[in-house]
Amino acid sequence: MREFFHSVKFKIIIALTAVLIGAMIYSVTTGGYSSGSGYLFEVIFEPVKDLSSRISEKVSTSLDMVINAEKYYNENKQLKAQLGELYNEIIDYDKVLEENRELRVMLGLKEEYNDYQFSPPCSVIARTTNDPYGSFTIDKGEKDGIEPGDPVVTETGIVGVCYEISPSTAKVRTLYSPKTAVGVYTVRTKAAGIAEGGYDLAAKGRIRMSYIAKESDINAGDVIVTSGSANYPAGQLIGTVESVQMELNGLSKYAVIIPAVDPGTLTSVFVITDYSLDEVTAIKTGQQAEEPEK
Amino acid sequence: MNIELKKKKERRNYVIRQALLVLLMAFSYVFISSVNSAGALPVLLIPCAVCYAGREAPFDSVLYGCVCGLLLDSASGTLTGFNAIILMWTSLMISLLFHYILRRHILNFLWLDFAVIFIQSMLHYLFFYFLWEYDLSGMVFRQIFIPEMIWTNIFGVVLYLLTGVISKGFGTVTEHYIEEKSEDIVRE
Repeated sequence: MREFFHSVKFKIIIALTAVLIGAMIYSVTTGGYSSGSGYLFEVIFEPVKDLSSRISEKVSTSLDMVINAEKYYNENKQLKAQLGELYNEIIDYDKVLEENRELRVMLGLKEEYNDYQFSPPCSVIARTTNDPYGSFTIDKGEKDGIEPGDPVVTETGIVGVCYEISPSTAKVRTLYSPKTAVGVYTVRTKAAGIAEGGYDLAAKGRIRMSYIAKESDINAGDVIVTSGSANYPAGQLIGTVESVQMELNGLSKYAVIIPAVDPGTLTSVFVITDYSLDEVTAIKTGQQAEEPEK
Repeated sequence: MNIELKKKKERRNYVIRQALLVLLMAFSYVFISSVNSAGALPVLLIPCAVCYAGREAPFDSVLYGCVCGLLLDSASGTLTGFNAIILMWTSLMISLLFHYILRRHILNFLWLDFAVIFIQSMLHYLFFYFLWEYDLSGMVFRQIFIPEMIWTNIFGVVLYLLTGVISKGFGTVTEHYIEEKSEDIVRE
């Protein structure tokens, strides 16, 4: 055994360890971009991951359809009833919209839209092993204009942010993560708070809205949207309030939110590639506006 | 058998064996990174590296352990190199132990496999959960890390038997610990 520790091979092992420590330090200092070895593995295994995720998705979808058929039948009936109510609301909404347009013309106001630039549709190609917060990898990366911190969304609402980028893949941290903190408010009463993740609620597929002033009017069923912050554009749907409780200190309330998007069932997402905190939102939310880097 | 022919056969066996073991590693990686499960998944790459270390030469084991570790870093979202360093050094130790001290037996494999999983899980928990002082990180350990360790060790037995079949079918490195009991031994 002593011979091995004096051999050239052992010296190579020591050198390899030094290289790996260097790669770790590099990964930490690049602020979200993968190191060289990470690049290499992502590129080599991307097609394999893509294929295997398609197969696993197909199998789990088929099984899910068989196992949960009754649940989906009941859900379908419930949704049809909801749809009827929504149609009535849309009729009222159209009337209000028309009225709003006419008033804008009368007052000479211009309409403002937040036109974000989206990445091409991104497929979920891998799930982070045994991550209680449901982070995952998508098949678009630096080559598609994605940068660390870019918000990830679906048609339904916000999912999370990109945090580690390689040329052709990106890792996404979800709202369930305790590293996530998003400024949010209720659409009905504008009650503000911070949406954050945590292990206990993530296991039940829920997130928490904290620091709600105790006199705020917030009830179960209220719709929660983002108020605009460094990583999250304003007005994006987060979810609906399930329950509201008083904090133990008695100074504020917290709400349990059912997220609009369940990251565990996602197969495709979009990334907003040109979002940066604009000055108006920065003033409103008291944050520092980002310098345009792109 | 002709020495040339024997060497040729050994070389062919070596290439096929390594190819099969690399395929096993790729399967383990794809399994842990694409299966969407609500519960804890077995981290197959760890027993994969331990099985390899138990049957192959120390330097080869280090390289295999390093690749397994880098793949594990990619699958579990840890810093590139974190798992690679752990698996490299544990693979080296296991390979040296099997070559010079231990018999190649399933029980020896089981406790060594558990030791590696335990070290990796504890370090992972320490650097990625405990030090950040997240709420309920103890619950993460109980509900994610402990089942993960148990499942990984159980699935490790399957991988041990599978790599045993591969090694048997396609020859393995020279045994260093053969004990021979012979009638010819002269006892004084």
